[in-house]
Parts: sequence; structure tokens; C-alpha cells
Amino acid sequence: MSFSTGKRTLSLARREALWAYAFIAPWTVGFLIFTIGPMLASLFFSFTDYNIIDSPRWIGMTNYVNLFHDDLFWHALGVTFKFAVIALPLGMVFSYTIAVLLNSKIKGINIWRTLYFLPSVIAGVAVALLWGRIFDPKFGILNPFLEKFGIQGPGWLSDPQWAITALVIMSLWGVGGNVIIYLAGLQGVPTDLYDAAKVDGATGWQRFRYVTLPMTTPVIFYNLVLGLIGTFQYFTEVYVLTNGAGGPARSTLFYNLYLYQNAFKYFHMGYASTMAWVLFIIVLGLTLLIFRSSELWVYYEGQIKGK
Amino acid sequence: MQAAFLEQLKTDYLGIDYDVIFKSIDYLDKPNNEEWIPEWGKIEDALNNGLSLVYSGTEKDAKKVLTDANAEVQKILDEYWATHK
Amino acid sequence: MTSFKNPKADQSRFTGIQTQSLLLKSVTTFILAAGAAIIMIPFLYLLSTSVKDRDQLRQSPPPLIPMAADTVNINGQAEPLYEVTMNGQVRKMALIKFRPGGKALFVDPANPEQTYELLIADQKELRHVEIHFENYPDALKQMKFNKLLVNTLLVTFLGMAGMLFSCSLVAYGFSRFRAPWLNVLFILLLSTIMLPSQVRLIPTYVFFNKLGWVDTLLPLIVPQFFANAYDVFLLRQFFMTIPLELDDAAKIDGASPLQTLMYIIIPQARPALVSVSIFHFLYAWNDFYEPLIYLHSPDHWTLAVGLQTFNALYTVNTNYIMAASAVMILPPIILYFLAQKVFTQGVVFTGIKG
Repeated sequence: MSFSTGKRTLSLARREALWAYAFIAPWTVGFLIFTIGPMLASLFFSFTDYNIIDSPRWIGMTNYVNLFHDDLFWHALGVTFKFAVIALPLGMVFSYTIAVLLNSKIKGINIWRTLYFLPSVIAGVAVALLWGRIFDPKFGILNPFLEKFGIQGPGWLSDPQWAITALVIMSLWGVGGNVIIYLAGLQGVPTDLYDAAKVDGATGWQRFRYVTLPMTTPVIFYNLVLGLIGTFQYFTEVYVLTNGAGGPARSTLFYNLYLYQNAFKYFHMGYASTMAWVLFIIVLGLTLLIFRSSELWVYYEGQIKGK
Repeated sequence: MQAAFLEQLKTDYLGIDYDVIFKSIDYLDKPNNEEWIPEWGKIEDALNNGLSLVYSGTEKDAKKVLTDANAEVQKILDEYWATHK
Repeated sequence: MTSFKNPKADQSRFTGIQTQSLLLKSVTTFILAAGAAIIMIPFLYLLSTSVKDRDQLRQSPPPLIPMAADTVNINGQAEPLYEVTMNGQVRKMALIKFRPGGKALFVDPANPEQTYELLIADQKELRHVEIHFENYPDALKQMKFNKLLVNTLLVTFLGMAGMLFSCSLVAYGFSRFRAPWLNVLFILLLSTIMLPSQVRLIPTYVFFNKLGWVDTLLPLIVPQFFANAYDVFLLRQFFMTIPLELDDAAKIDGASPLQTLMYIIIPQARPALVSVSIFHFLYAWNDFYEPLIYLHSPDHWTLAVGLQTFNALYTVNTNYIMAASAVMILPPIILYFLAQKVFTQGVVFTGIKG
């Protein structure tokens, strides 16, 4: 629909497009300045030796080679993966189960929901400080509690073997955030599916297995992807509990923490940029893997698969 | 109790400006007297790691901890000097 | 999809379902209650520890209600009081010296010369409730709370203003218009949610350093004025539920798109705007990573960084640390209780179904 009164008048579609671009300008500008620009710059830095004071010095692939040979790099990857492999599945099972429970129509369900969501709104710093004290083998409350059952509790955060486990336990306290999302997903399952299943004579467990679970796979997928990325960004709690050292004996040296040390403690900006890009590629690869696999197990509305 | 201690100090040791002493406590080891060493951040972390190995009871052989830490610090410095002649 | 219900079949199983339902409900309630109790324990520990003094902290295992030993003055020293059973009589005596074999010397305060050596385990320690509320003002003063609070509030609310301003504009652009490449840009926006921040971090720091903005609050506030993917997505989904007829009505009245946004969309979108504001508050209040990187001098720290430093210096004073932590988590908790619905509603709009 264009008014051909000369080049001065813009067509309606054109005008609409210009308005659109104008409105999203804050984001596009920000995207260039704070996302694309820095990404390209850090790629550049990864090939240099840069300590922020002197200008970057080109050293080619040296950073990547050094990274490959860096024991701490592999160790940090190992720590992060170990945590992910334990905390992610555990967290997902926990939060999904709690969401199912919180989805029941029992009296006062809102009170329970309030209580379970509560820990997730609290600062990472405060959570870490609180749990650091709880885990204290002498003055905390976890070990005395275990002793009542005759279990001799370990040193938790001061024991290299148990530090990661302690962090996992601490992360489970805050599952509330994920529970909210699962709850929304559960509530979005159409009730007529349940009715149809009941008519077919399905038991509660069968209804769960063949209606609830498949219909909530999109939410599980969403939480899985974000959870994985979140694990690689894990920083605050570790830093607070170990004073930035990743101890004891480097047993909690997460990838993000090691990157932070390299960038802002040792001022190896080039090396840290290398770490950042390697991280990006790893996360990208894992995310693509999950996306690919999702075709096998994620059911979207409108898709007809299986029962 | 601190006030009484201070008074005792003042009578025991005359002619000292205690104000300077108390204010300078804030600056103890700041900046660290070993900060001039290249890669000090990395070296400090390596040494602290050695300490935490001992404190957590993982390594009971003090000599091994010292040798390992020494090797690690040496490696850090070697890498540094290789690129900064 | 119609569901066929056989009324007879339902009725015959009626009582079965009733009892089964009741059993299920009580089991569920029980499990939820047990879980909730476990979740509340750390909070109780936080509060109880925050009002103890140095000696009370060393009690192992730590009691829930802060207790301190009753003491009595004997020869200028405060000695703990015990309820002692001796010769069938129960008396209050003070423990003045420990002895090997789990025994100790006890004296009657009225008659301090006469000592009795008895087994400690047989006696009952006398305690009273002792709560040190002064830990709170003490801790807050030590950590220079006021300055930290001001900085945190500045970062939080100025950032919130920037976020609301930019995200509304961008969400409006993505929801109400058609333009070439708009869908591609939107997908690009969404993909940035999954981008690990480390890959942008260092050059951004270098950039702010060159601007001289490091060690100021600016790097934490200014980027908020350029919209962020998560809030834009939430707002856009909500905007799309607002009927287009309203837009058309405004257009007929001659309103420009900007006016439509300001006078039609925004007022309608209040729930979503409140949601994203609350989410932003929680994010900014709790943020530790970026303030740690950009804020160096103690005068510029936010609460999160200040609390961590306070902990590093005063680790031994667990009571002060707990008190300070309790104060820091209070505003988010209050906000949470005031805005209950927001959390469940806000997330639903992310359209998790894909």
C-alpha cells in the first residue's frame, strides 16, 4: 500500500518497519556495544598477552597451547563437570518432585508454596555465609545432627573430599526457583488428557508416566539447558566460602573462579579470554547436543507421539 | 579493658606516639612486602594451596608439600621469564 | 477433545477414590510439612546465632534458643551455677575447678570455703535465656552498613529505571510491528539468554576502564539502559496478550506509536511491569559478581561485596556475620511476601511451552 506521490512519502510498511527498528534500537545498540563488540574483542585478546596496563602483545596460539597444558585448566573443568553431573540431575529430580507435591489440591497449599520458594530469593552471599557456618564441623548444626544417628560427619567445607558435596547440598536448598517453573509447567497440562486417561482406566502412576511426564518435557528441557549454563557460571557461593581460593586444596576451583583469578587477580587478560572462548565453545557444544537430543524426548503441544 | 592496657603501655614506654601505631595496624602487610615478585598473584595462590593441603590433612608429608609448592612456583617463574626477557 | 464419562463407572469407584484421595492428601501434606521444616532450619540457625555473644557461640551443639550459663560471683570470678544433688538434697552450687575423671570441685556460694568433688555428668547446669539484640547495631556499624545500603539502592533503583525504560521500548517494538528481519533479531535476542557472560566480560571491563568508570557505580547501571533479553521476552509476551483493538482505537485518534505505547500499552501492562521490576530488584540486590569486578574502594561497595569483606575480616564473629546477613536478606524476603502472586504469574509468561 504505497502512495505514489513522490519519494518523500514512505509506504505504510516502510514506516512501520522504521518505527520497529527505532523501538528496538536500545537493544540493538546495546547488543553491538556490550555483546558482539566484546565477544570479538575477547577473541582477539585470546591471541595476545594482555595485562591491561601495557597494550596487547600478539602471541598467536600460545595461550591456547598453554591452556591445553595447564593442569589447573583441566582440574577446573573436572570440578565444574563433577558438580554439574551431581547437582543438575539431583536438583531436577528434587524440584520436579516438589513441584508435583505442590501441585496437589490440599488445604493450605499456598503456605507450603510460599515456604518452599523462599530460599531462592535470598542473596548468594548470605546463603553461602549461612551454610558455611552450618557446615562447620565443630560449631555448626549439621554434624551434631548426624551424630544423633551415630554418623560421624566429615569436615565438609574443610575436607577436599567433601567440599563439592557440601556445595551440592547447599544448592538443593534453593531449588525453589526451579520448582516455580515446573509448577507452571505442571499446571499447563490440559486436564482433559487426565480425564481421558482416567476413563481408559489409567492408575495414578500411569497417568503420571504417560500424561504428566511427557507433557512437561518442554519445561524439563528449559531447566536443563539453563541449569547447565548456570553451572558453568557458578561463582558467588564458591568465592565467598573459599575467599576466592577455590580451596580446600583447590577442590572447589570451578571454571568460572579460575577464569576470574586469571583475569582479575593475575591480570592475564589474554589467557582469561582464551578460557572464556573455550568455555563458550564447550557450552555451545553441550547446548546443541541437548537441543538435538530434544527431538527424541521433548513433546510439544500439537505433536502426536506414542500413547 | 583495652583502655587500661593502653594506659599501662603509656606509662611503661614513654614518648611514643601511640596514635601512629594504632593507625598503622590497618596497613600491616599492605602492600604485601613480596608483591614486587612477578606473577605474585599466581605464586601466592600456589603457596596458599600448599598450606591448605596441610591444614585440611590431605597431605601429611610436609616435605612433599614444600617440594611440590617449590616446583610449582619455579614453573610459574620460568614461564614468566621465558616471555619477559 | 471430548471425554466420555461413564457415570456408573465413576460411582462404583466413588468411595474407593475418596479414601485413596484422603490418604494421598495426608501423605502429601506430611511430606511437604517435613520438607518445609527442613528448609526452615537454616533460617532458625541464622536468627538464633545472630543474637548470641562470643561465649554462647562456642556451645557445641549450638542450642536453638540462645542460652547462657547462670553465674555467681565467687572470689571476684564469675563461676557457672549447677543444680547439685548431694545426699538426697538438691542445692545450687558453683563449679570452680575441673578435675580429672569428669569430676569438678563445687562450692556452695554461701560457704565458699567448703569444696565438694563430684561428677559433672550427674549435675544439671543452670542456664537462662540471654539474647543479645545489640549484635545488630554493632555489626551494622562495623561493616559501614549505611554507605553500602546507599550504593546498593542506587544501583538497584537506577538500574530498574533504565531496565523499565529500555525493555518496554524494545518489547513494544518486537510485539506490535512487522519489519524485515524482526523475527531473526528476536531469535538473536533470545539466544543471548544462553550466552555465558564470561566471553563478554573482559573487554567490557577494559572498555569501562578506558572510560574511567571502573570503581564507580556506572558500569552496573548504564548497561541496564540497553535492555536485557529476559525482561524483554517477559514483557513482549505480555504485550502480545493486549488486544490489538486498543492500538487501532488509538491510531484512529491519531496517536503516534510512541503515544500508543505510553498511554495504552503501559497502563495495561502494569502486572508484567511489576513482575520484571521485582525480578530486577532481586537480581541487583543479590548481585555479587559484577560489583566485585568493578567496585574496588570500600566507599563504593554494594551490600553483597561489603558483606563478603566483612566476613573475611570478622570470620570468627559468627554472630555479627549472621546478624549482618539477616539484615541483608530482609528486604528481598519482605518484597517476596508482599508480592506472592508475581512469582507464579511472572514465570508463566515466559511461555515455557516453547
